[in-house]
Amino acid sequence: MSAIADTGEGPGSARLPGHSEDDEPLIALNDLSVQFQDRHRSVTAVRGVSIHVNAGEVLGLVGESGSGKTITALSLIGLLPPTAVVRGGSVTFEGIKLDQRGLRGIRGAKVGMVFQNPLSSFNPVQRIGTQIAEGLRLHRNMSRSASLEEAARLLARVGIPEPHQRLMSYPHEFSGGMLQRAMVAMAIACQPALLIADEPTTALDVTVQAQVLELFASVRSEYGMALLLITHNLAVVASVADRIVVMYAGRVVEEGPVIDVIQAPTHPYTAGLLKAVPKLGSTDRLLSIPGQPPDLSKGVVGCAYRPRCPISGPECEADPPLRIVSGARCAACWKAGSGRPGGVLDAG
Amino acid sequence: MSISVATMPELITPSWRERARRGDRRLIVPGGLFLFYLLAALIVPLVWPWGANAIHLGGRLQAPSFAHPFGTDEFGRDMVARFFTGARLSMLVGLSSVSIGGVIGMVIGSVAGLSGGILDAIVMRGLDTLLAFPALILGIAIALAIGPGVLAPAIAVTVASIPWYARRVRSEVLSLKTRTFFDAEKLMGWGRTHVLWHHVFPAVIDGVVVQASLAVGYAVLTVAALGYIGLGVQPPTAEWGSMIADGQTYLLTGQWWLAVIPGIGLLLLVALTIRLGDALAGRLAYSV
Amino acid sequence: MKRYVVRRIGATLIVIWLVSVGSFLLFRLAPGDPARLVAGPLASPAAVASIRHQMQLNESPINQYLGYVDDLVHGNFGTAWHLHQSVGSLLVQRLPATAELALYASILGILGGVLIGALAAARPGTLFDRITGYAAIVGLGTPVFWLGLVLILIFYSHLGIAPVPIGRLSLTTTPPPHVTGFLTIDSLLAGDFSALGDALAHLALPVITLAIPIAAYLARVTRASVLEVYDSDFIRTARAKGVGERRVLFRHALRAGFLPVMTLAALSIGDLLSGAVLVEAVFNWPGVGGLAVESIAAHDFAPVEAIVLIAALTYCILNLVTDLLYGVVDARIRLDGGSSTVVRRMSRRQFSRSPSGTGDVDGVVQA
Repeated sequence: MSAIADTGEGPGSARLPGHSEDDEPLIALNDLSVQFQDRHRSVTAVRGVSIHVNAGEVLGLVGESGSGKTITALSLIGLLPPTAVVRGGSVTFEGIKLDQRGLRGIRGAKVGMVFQNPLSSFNPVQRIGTQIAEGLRLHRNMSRSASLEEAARLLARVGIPEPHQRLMSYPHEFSGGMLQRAMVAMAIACQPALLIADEPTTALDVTVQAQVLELFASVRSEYGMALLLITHNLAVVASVADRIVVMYAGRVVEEGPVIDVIQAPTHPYTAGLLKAVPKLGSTDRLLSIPGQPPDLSKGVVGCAYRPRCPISGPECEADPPLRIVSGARCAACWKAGSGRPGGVLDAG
Repeated sequence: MSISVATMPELITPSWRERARRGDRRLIVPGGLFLFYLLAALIVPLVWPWGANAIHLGGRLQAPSFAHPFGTDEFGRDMVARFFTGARLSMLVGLSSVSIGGVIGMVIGSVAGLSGGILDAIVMRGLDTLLAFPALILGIAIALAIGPGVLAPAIAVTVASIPWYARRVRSEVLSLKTRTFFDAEKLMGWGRTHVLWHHVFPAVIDGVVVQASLAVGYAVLTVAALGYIGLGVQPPTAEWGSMIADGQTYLLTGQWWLAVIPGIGLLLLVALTIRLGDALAGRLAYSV
Repeated sequence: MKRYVVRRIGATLIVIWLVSVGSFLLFRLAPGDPARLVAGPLASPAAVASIRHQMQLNESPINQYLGYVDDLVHGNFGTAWHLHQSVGSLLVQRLPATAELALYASILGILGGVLIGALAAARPGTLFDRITGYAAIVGLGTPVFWLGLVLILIFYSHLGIAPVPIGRLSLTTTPPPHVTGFLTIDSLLAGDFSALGDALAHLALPVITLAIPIAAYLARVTRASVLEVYDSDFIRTARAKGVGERRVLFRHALRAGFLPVMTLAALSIGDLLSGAVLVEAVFNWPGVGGLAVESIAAHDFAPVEAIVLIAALTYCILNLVTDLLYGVVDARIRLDGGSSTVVRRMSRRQFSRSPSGTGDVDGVVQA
């Protein structure tokens, strides 16, 4: 179960709201902190982050570039780059804490991952069929021909025409959208319980985006997979996710069921993000959040959002912990729960 | 990854100039050792009491001792003097051939890369032809043509190194050409010489320096090899390769220092240049 | 692909032609008397004159060149007067010895070097990596002829486990019947195991000597290439699928990073030829390289000229073969027609990676 920093100030609880004892999350990350070191300086990419994904649900992980969302997701399967130093935290899968070996065990078999840039994510000198089949041969012990057969079936499943011919093609022969589908095929090959998708739609055209999201939905309902969707696109999250986690400067700042959070955000950053989404047909000025995210190579004192926050006050010199606001929602803001933040926020 | 480069620690390797300015130990140490070796090769033959060619038939084949730290050879000549004289020869030939070859190669590669088209194709075929003759083989051929001596290895090594520079410079120029600022230059109407001198050369010189440091070692080895088979510098001039050839007959009779010591000198020199080359290139990975 | 094959063959033919012109210039038009060079210092003036006539040295350069090429095409390389044999027959006689040596040395060198380089890349910064790195520098920097001498000193003189370093077989062993000229194969075919053992014993030191520089070079190049690939996105994907590190290294990283390694291995074949000359000199190996060195010592230059030319031509052909193999291996060439040359391809970033990848400005593998 995730742990929440208990400072004794608000209704602290060691259990995430909305869950009873018997409702174990499928996978959980506890209190993760990651730094990147080189000889000159260190960057704290992620501080004290805890997230969890329940079986079968869609969790949207939202934040700007540099918020630490990708690192968080990679940590779930122990795939951090060698320059990363983990300063604390653990991963629990189906209730069992996993070490590096255990993490390796769930990769591919229980957790599949779809990456952002499909063309560079495939081995350019290997055929697509071989790459998709690799997981099957590894985890299901299938023979070469059986795994290729299954790979063809998977290609068909994700909507790629002429799958048997396509097995023999190389990655550069596919279009971006098709390659993304092929990557989905590769990730779901062993029917994992969780699919992690890191910005799956960012590199694609809008029309293709919709197709890929549809694909996720259909695959999910067929396999009952959970989906961790990482994106900076709130519109996608709103349409697809059950729950949302908002990250800023390496911390979780808000968390809760997606409808609630979007209709009534409690953290000023979330509010700001929502207001920055342009609305079709509206002629209002586009509102952006003033300022820049903090430089993570310097230590952050107090609330990281303070320089850009419209409602900050003297108490914000202390770093607010993530606390339950109501029911299933948490926020890391001293002002949360004390009326609407910002004062100028409209729902939606 | 979603971490923007702006917040990541510096991941671009700085050039060797920058690192030299900063006093990077990985660059300073091999560079310093190499300079030390070079200085020793220049100074020792001048200050050492024994001459490199001074024959002392009474003191032949003496094992290393305080008087003769490297021993004496079959004519009683002191091995320290001969060693450092040979070192000086190898280094001078190596450094000069690499510099001349580097300049020629840089020019050829730049012109070929900039021109493109037929000229480029012709130059490439010419370079391929040169590459077909390994340095040693080329040295043998040139020595046949103009006779043995120091000139044949020097020419061979210079000529054989040209294609390496030329190809590298050419490929760098080709990628330079794709950058838009380059077209802006052409729009301004600069002549080709101007472009070469002010833009291309500064951009490729770092790569040439790296290539050169690796080429020095290869040059030194080739000169020694030619000396070994008798086509290079002729006796009585002290040259490491011919010293090894002369000394090998005494190898199995116990006077190992005649053949072994010059080889160690070669090994040290070339290993240093390779190490220096790696450091100049700034890579944690070793390369060509 | 067809376009690529045609272009490569065309380029090679042009280079071969240029090589013939180059060697012609060196041997016929250089200062000094080419006829005297070929005839040798002991030949009478009449003999020299007759050779001068044979070589058409009084004709115009163009005619000389045509005559030169004509001779080459008919396999007429002149006569090695100090051995009273035609150069052509000498070459045929001695080729198998060199080929056997070169074959085993390249296999050992290539396999050893690539393996060590890959393993070192998989654990950068560790003791293994550092030690192999220094060993590679030493291996590259040691003059190969001196290395042979040192190995003889250690293994023959001091340890006594190597046989007398003269030639391919002990004086007391009868060679097996000639089938291929490769003593190891021939003795195997004849079932003569004592000859096989003897041949192998004599091959050991020369092969190791020749293999070490090759292995050192390839270890460095492979390490660099694999390290570069290791940062790529698709390696991360493989890991995300649960592929174990060993498989990631050999099936993905090495496979993908192999192309520049292969190309550079081809370019280093020139070193193999030079190395063979020197190693054969040290070990008194009766091969083509040894013939060159002997002839130089005897001032008999016809064989040397032939060997220089053959070395260059061999290099061209081996290079062509490698380029064609490269075309087969790299699917991208196959499909886009191969318009870029091998060198240009090598100097471009081979694999893309996300923005956080190291921005190694120099590029790792360049010719």
